[in-house]
Amino acid sequence: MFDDPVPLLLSALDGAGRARRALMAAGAVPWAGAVAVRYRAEIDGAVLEAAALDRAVGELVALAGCRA
Amino acid sequence: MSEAWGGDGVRAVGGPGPTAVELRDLDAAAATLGAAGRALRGCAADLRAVARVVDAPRLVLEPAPYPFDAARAEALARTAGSAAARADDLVRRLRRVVELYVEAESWVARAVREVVGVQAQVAGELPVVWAAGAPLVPIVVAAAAGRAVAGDPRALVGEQVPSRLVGPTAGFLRGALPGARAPVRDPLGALAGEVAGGDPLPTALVPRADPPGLPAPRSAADVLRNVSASYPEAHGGAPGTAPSTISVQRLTHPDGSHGWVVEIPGTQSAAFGGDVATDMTTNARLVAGLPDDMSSGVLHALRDAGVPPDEPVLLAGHSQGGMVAVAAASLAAGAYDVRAVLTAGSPDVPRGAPAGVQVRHYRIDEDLVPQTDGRPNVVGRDVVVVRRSIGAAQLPHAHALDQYVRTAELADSRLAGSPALRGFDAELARVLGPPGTTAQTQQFSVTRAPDAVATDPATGRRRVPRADPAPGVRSGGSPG
Repeated sequence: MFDDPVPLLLSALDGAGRARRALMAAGAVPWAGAVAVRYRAEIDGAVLEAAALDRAVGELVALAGCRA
Repeated sequence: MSEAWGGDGVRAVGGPGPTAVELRDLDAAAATLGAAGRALRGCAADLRAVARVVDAPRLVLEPAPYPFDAARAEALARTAGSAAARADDLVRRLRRVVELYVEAESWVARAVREVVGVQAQVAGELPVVWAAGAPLVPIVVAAAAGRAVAGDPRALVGEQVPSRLVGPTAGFLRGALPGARAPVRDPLGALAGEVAGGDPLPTALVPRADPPGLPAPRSAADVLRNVSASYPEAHGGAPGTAPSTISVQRLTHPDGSHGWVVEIPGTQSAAFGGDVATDMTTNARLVAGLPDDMSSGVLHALRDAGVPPDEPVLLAGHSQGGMVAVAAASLAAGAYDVRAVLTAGSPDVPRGAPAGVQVRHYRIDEDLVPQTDGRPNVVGRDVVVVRRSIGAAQLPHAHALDQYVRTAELADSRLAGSPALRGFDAELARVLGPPGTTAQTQQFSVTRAPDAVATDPATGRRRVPRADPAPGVRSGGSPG
């Protein structure tokens, strides 16, 4: 179909997944100290946000799939 | 991490930070975070496209509408976009951390610097190579700058080129002195020792009968303002201030506890061995790591001001005064509770402050004076350099104390909360106390004037020769 949103949604889902994995990798840096604690707190927040985005986009993909 | 780094050209180097190994990991993490940001931006773009498709008018024969509306996709696109912005921001701050800590000199750079210094000493010993080497000087200058000589020469100062030339120049001059000398790792210190070595001249510490009431400082910038007021009027200070005056402020906190601030001005005479102690002899002896009149003068000022051994002390100075503050902190170990040292526009000296003393150096890139030590900034867990660039056009004013007052103000506003600054700020707060703290000021001038050395100007009585050097002072220099 010409204006099918499903490929776009799948691409968005792929992007959210890659972002979540990259954030988790960035959080695995072996760094200690007070600054590192704050850094990890920010990374952990970003990972949670990316995971929530991943789930929400996944729901849209599922809904779009049902409609098709 | 907070938004603690950068802004208005002011930055901090040193303090507690990551190791070299961790820096590589942090660099890799920044690259990975960059990939996360790109993925999130792509995700946001895709979701906005989905919203447009879902929102588009549909044909009569099309299947049922999508079971979600455009607003839902738009909301997710905004979430992805803001997450991407946060990832980009984190990358920027992580890169800043990496940049701050890789500014420290590597062992390779240090080895190269020392080898060049030794070669310059050897060249100085061999007049036959001087003529052959002369044409190479402009090339060396250009190479040290890493740029063409045709550029604005003032910019070379901001790039710390003079600092790289000091060691080889001192080595060459030392080698060129009459007589043979073995090359040393620190040719500048060795040369300074030859110029101003030997026993110091006798000095006297003269208390000021009517010291001004300098205000109780509330910040590092305020402390530097009081350093400025400790200069003689001819050097921009307060009227009636004698040369080589050391201000000692007793701060009384609202709870009755005390802190002490010692404010030390810089060079006031271009002479060697004259009456004024803040002269080139003191500079040379500080560079050589020898006992000097001003550092021992600070110790005697602490004693005469009645500073007890268990109350916190901050030593602060501009230019030579900063070198004196560091050297005096070393001398005071075990005798006084020196918690912090603050310098503005001062080179490093061989005799560093003891471990645990928080040291903050303010240095402006375009200021030549801090570069005269001929080595990169020495930083560490307790030693932080706050640097600021003011542009090549400001070169003539780069050493002025008011520029450093501004630098301290900018650091307080732009770098507040930075891990690099936290240790010093805590000790500064301990000494300065909370609002409501009051100050009493005493001033002492260090002089080599024979009359003042022989006779106490306050009583008119002859001084008793004394041999009680300040704690840690090895020889000579016993202001009475």
